[in-house]
Amino acid sequence: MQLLFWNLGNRPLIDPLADLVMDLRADVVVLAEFTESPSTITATLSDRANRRFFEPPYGLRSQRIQVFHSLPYAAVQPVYGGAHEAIMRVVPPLGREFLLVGVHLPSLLHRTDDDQQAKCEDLSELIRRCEEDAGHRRTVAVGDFNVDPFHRGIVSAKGMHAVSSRAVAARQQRTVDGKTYPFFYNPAWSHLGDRSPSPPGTFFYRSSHHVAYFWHSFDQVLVRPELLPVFSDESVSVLTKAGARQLLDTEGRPDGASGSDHLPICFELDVERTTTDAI
Amino acid sequence: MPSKDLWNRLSTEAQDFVPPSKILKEYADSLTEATNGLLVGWVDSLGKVDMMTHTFVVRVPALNNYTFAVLRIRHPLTGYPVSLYPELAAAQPAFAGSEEELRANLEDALREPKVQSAMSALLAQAATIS
Repeated sequence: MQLLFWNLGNRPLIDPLADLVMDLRADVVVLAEFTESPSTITATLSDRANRRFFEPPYGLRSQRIQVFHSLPYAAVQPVYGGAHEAIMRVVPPLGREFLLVGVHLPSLLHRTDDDQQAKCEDLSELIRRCEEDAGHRRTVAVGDFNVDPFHRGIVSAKGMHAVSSRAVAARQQRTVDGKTYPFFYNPAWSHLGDRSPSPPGTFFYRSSHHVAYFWHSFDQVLVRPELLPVFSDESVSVLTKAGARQLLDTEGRPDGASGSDHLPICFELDVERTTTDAI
Repeated sequence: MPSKDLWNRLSTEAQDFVPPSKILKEYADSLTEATNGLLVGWVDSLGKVDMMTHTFVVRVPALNNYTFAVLRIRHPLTGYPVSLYPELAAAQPAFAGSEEELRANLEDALREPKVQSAMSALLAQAATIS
């Protein structure tokens, strides 16, 4: 199953998005900051990709993040829709069901680090509650977290508890001060800096402060250890083209004129392999 | 001026050679026929440098054209040896040095219990909707 996330930056990018969906054969498309109506998006994607795209049933719709898919209509059911997150129950035709968490956290421009950490902690607790209700932890979270992989909201046990190493995440959970916290694995760490074949991040910001990272990886996918057997790091890509449209400017930075200020990311989940004896 | 018979030998040799993709397509088509089109098998081919990769994909029209990959085969431009990589079953890759071996490997891979149960599950869902 191919999944795509893109923060469209409130720009009219429906055509390059459709090209991207067609080229990737994306099954699930998670969007933030889109300008077109959901019905326009589903119609355009359906037409271009030559298969029908749906938005999940109206109930529990998030304000800032939306999930579209071309699985059978009933395969994606909303579980929770909040101000900054949309949690879906995905029941694929083949393989075991999993939880998909679409995320679009508030921007740091209007918040402090402590605010972001608190938001991550709230999100983490919400995910754990939904997992308890679902009876499993086959969960993947994808979206614009508006913080980097090393932000304490992403790293801390009470936050997303997302670590850079598969081997560490495969230990399932960690006990801190007598309480147990499950891990996420965060492949975004491997995409930081120049050694990655893709750009050094998904968002570029030139700051005038003393500490300036310039490149940020705000757009991330976090995977629970229960899904690691069907998740390959090689499948994660930061995309620099959408159809024929280049998404980078001449300096190799996200081109807000031709695309969004965020680069899209895609990844695969081989959920067809999730049988009772695999996971 | 090129010789008039320069390419004659090539076409003669090609007639004796059954490309691995064609063999895979036979199996894909047999699935479509056996399920009366409820499951549609097709072969997605990709050539890169000097290796060809062909994926046996199943499409389910009744499930909004849900598609998944069953297995992949890879081979050099010369055709053999062919490596077969199961996508559904967690099995080791198999290798074929001839058409006969490839057919035997494909039979084994497609008879894997996980592949058969996946096909049955999709067929049941498709039949319910159709």
